[in-house]
Amino acid sequence: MARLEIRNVSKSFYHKVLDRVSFECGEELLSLLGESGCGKTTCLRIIAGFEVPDQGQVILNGKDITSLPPNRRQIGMVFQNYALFPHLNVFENIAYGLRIRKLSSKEIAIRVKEALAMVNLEGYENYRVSELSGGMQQRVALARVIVLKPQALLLDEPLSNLDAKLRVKMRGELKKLQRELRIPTIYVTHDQEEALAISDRVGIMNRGRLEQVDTPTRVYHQPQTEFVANFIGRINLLSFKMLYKLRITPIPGLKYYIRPENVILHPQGPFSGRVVSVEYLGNLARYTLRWEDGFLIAEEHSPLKVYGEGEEVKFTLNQERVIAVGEGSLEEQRDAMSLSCQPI
Amino acid sequence: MALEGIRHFRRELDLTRGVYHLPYLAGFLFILIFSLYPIGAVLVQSFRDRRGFTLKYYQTFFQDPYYYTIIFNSLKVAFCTAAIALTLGTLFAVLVYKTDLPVKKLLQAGVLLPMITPGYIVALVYVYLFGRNGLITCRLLGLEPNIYGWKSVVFLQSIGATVTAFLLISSVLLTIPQEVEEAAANLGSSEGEIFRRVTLPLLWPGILSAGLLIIMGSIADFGTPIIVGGNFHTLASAAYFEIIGKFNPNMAATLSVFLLLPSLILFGIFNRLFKGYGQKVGRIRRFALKGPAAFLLSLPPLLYTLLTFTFFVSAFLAAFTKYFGYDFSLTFEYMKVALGLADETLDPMKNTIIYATVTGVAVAFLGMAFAYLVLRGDYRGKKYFDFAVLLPFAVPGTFMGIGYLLAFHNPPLVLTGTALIIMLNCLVRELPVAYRMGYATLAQIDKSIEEASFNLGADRFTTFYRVVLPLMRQAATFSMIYAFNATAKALGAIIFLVTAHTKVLSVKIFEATINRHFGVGAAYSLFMVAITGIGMLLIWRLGGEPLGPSRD
Repeated sequence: MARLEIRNVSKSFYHKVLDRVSFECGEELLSLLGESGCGKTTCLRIIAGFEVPDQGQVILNGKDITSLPPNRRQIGMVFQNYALFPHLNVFENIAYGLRIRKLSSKEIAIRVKEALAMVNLEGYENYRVSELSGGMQQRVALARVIVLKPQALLLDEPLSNLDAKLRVKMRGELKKLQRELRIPTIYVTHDQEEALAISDRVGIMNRGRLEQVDTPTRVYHQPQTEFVANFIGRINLLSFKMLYKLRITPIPGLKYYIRPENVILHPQGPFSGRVVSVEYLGNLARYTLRWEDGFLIAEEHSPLKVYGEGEEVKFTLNQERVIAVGEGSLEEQRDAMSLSCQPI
Repeated sequence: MALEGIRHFRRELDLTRGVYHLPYLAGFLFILIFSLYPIGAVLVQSFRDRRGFTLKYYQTFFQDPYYYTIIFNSLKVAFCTAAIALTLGTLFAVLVYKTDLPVKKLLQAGVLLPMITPGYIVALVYVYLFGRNGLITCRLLGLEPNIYGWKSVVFLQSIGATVTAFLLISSVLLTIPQEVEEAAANLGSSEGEIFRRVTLPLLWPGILSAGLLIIMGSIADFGTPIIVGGNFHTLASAAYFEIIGKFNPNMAATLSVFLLLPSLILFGIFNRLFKGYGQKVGRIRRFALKGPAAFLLSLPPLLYTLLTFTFFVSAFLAAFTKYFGYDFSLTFEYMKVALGLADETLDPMKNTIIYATVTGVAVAFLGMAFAYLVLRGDYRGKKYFDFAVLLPFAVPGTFMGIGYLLAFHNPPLVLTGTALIIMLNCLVRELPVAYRMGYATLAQIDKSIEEASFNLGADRFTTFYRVVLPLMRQAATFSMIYAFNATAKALGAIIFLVTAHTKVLSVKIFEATINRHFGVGAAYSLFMVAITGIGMLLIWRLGGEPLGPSRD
């Protein structure tokens, strides 16, 4: 089984960009999610071989490739701006790597054809890359690496240059393609919806550190650090007063959160608050409620009636879904981890 | 193991290690031998006589009032030329690109025409038309004026300089977004006020850069003062006479040092000032120019256009008439001489084409390669390399010519009299432009395109050959044509280097002009114009920027 491992990788440029990052990626789609400057692209470039880590190893299928130059790695990379060769047409772009490997022109023709079929671009061989739409260029960039049958695939924000509708379509195709290829695939993005939708597992990065690597559901429902809890989706921090009312005894060193969809508007609810603002999105209504000593965000799905600003509403909390998270970063709370990562 | 691995890794990828170091070292050595060494040779020569170190040439220079006069002459001509050319150039640029006058295409052709006719051809025709026996002055107007003097020098230099001014100023003008001027109009400015308060201030960097280049070019120009200066001498023409007339290379070297100094200073300022062309904007605002204002403003450019066309046509006619002006009978005598059918040989033309082709190809390749090394490699001392490659741009042609004469006359490297010395000289002098062009192109190519190539399995050399070079193809083509043209036109730099066997068209024209063989000179000029005109057309066809005129 194919496996890509990153062990304890650190990298500094002027300041620390990556700080002891470790993770493994099997035959799955693993995304690295984080804000710009968090080190996710540097991590990808280290795997591709464009940067040398100050420390740590990159291991592909049990072989240490940390010191291997990029042109010998057999790891395909799709760049954010696609980096297609503007002087070559679609066919030649895809054939490039095969020509470097000195394949016969007959075999090149066959394999390019296969690759074009895989990305649904049959018949575009002779187009100039500048004549293609963004989505098509994206497919050429993909075809150009998969034609080489790489042992791992790296995607650097591949959808960020596409418009919203195409983005959703392409991410479905990417996922399907990954399933067919069955190779470790690292997907860098700053779009959390995209990361949750496409990934088998999501790695959340913050200031050069990997905070948590988990399945999308666990990242969302069982965040392990404060950063992850606050970064993914919307979340309410519960005050002591609220915890007291919910009869939860707070453990020192833990913080307690609840997602907006678990703040339920209900005529018989035990709490009452005033609507400060409303966002109506069709399939859901999002309220910011003022409750005694603070604010709470509540989301109601397929609402029949939308409350107006200033209205008084009753609500209740789905107590089973309260999330407790250790304070501080992962290292600071490593000891307390076993206590805190379970839902209460 | 890991550490060793990382070392290994660096060897493979890093441009500054192993085999990748060789091109850089070779480039450095090349520049050192063929650019810095001749420049140094001139400096050394100015401090040396038969017995060794001496300051006597500098003493002479500072004691003899004659030399103060020629410095003053050089400056006087340079500033007058700059003033005229900048005014005309700005006027042309605005009329051509920022108005809808019906004559603007004609004006554009008129202002660009001197690009294919080097200064010495213009000078030839000038004497022919306006001289003591000139067609216009003598035959048509019955005058016998003395045209030899500084005013003629300024007049002729202005013609070439106006092209420089026009090209640089219009390249800045094309970067002014129309919204800026529309905003000024919206805030209540009249057309005149928009020009004075918005357009002109935005053009200043272009005008200033052009001014610096024009002054550099004017100071370095020796052909014009020799042909029409009479007893009027400038630093450049005086240095020429020290070599050709008096064979005093030491004094020539000393004069050249004073020729180099202002040029270096101006080039330094130019480099600081000129940060390359900005992004061209899609639409340019047009001035609503009508009525008497339009007439008055377009009058000087129209007269200028008439002049350049007259010069061009006259050169053509002079080549085919017995004595254009006196005797209008058709003759092919001069063309026969030029074509080598009479007593002379075809050598000048053949030489010109061969030298220009070889130089053009070499300049294009080296320019692109050096730009790649400097931009993508993290070499030690690449700042100095960059400077050394660009330096010859600031060195007057005469200076470089004297430098080559001095440096390669004696061992260890003797090249005097060979064709190679001419090509190397032109190569080094045209390299800065190619290097700049390659640099600008490469800076715009995203690094990820090269990384994609590595990722797909290619190494550095393959990537350069398969990806970088093709992407720089346009820059390479343009710099090749440019260097071809510049080499074909070159005079000052190579006039000391040619021998009977390596004669080229430019030197032939110059000699014909000095010896008043107008017909033959005009016939040679036709071929020169044809050769450079084709190159210029090619650049145009390929969608390139018109490049500056030759520097000499």
